[in-house]
Amino acid sequence: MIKIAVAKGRVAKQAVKLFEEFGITFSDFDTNRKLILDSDDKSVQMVLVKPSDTPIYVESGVCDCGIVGKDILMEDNPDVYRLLPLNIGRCRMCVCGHGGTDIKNMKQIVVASKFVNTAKAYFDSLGMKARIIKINGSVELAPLLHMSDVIVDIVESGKTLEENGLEVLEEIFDIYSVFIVNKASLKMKHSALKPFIDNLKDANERLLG
Amino acid sequence: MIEREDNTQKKYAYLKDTLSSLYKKHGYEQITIPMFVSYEDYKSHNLSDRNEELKLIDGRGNILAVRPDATFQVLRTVSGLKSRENEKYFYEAKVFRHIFPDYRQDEINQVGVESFLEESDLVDADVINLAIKSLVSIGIKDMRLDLSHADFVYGLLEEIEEITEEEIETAHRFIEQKNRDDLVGFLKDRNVSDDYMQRLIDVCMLYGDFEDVMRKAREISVNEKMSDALDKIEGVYEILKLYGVDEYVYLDLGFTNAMNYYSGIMFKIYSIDAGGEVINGGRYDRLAKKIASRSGACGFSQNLDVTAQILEDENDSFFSVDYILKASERNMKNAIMLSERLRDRGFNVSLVSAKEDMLIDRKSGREVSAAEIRKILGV
Repeated sequence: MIKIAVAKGRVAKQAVKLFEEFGITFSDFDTNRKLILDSDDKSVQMVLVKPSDTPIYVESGVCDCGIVGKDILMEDNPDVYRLLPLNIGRCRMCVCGHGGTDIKNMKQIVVASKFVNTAKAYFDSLGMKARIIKINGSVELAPLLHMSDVIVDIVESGKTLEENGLEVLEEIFDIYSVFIVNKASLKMKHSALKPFIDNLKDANERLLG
Repeated sequence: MIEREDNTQKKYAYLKDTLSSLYKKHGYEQITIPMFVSYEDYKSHNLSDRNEELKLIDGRGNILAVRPDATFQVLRTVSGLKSRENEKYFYEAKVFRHIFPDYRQDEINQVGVESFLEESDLVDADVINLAIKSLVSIGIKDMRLDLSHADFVYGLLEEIEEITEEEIETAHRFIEQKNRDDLVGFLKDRNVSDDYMQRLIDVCMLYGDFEDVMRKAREISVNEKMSDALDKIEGVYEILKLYGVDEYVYLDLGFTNAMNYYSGIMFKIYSIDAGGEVINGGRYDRLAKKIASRSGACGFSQNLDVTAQILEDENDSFFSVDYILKASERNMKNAIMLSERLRDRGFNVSLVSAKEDMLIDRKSGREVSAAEIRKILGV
């Protein structure tokens, strides 16, 4: 049986749809609060995890593979194979703040973010000195309360930003989900994983087309 | 993998005992390596760019690193020894790397072997065979060894003018991650031709069955450096067949050579229970020449923490005590004599004081009768 870690919520919903494309169905999904679900044909076990925890389940080998956002891969850089970009979980990593904030002409900048490594790497690449404040949620509050000049965060629709009088200042990179695989599992469970990976790839391309 | 109170300590002792006798049997001698190294000296060799070293400051303000890498310390030790024929060493040591903020895995227990011999298929195969035996000898068979060669991917990357020397590591990292998506983006940004792009994408997936992957690799190869690397791997593989360990051997030509450490054949052994690598090794001639003035070197290191985790919990060979001899005060003299006679017979005996005299067989937990004792002693 293949064990796959999937971020619960929106990504899990889209992933289940993707699996259905090649006949892997989870009739238990969304009907209860179970965290471990077997597919109806018992070939796949899906483990629903917190998005930022997905890589550790795969890196440690307790799950063979996983579906995780590129934002988390960029931030944590786990030691796993990144086999397939998937057409789900699409959004953007952005620098956001009050309209008119001219970040490129600031000598020093204070940044609030959940993604401290990403934020640091971005401002380093601009040659800017940034002080990064780690915030775990409702990051939009930081510039509103003048704790930071800007935030670095995921933007989906931009609605939360808009309602709080903030806007996107710069896009850093596109985010989408990536199919990751444990290093030992890819090699040693190859006969079980290979058809699953091939099917996933085809299904992903069909959904794109 | 929850840590419980278990046989961990006994497992470490068993592993160190079993592996050191295995290495001795193959002509390796034990070497003791230093704990500290000048941080500046260590960093000047560019062995790691991860800043994971644990550092100390000495009385004069010099910065020391606490054994961040065992091979480097072996090289420094060997540089002070006279070079000889058949120079082969093994070590058992902790290395220290600060990886997690909570210090939970800073101490890594390692064993390793280093063979200071000039490159030949036989010498390399001998080291690889020993790596496989390191797991077989402790009862682990569910493993897989991937062979690779440092020159294969470099031979291809060097051919591509659009990728600068500084960018080679980035391209290599994407290949190692089998991350075709970011690799393609990176190559497109640099206007790399479709032909080279396709070859690099294919390299990511060059893993699996030996013959099959070797055939595909021959098609991707564009120069002598790459085909020489493949010839080398094939030569070693033929000898591994003679050792009878080829059932464990596969290829993965995509895995990388961190910081340009290895200069020839490279290998990793994976275990599914460990969820990753247990052993990694290869040939590192450049470093051996530079630091220890040796003509070549090939070796591997084995992570004992991971190995201990994947050993079965119940294994009688973890226990080194054969008999527990309980002795009362009045019978002390006889007890000491009996314990010495048992030890002369090759048994490990623990003498403890008690109210009643008694010899206990540790394995069964049962008392050994006087008649049985006579039988054991052969009197």
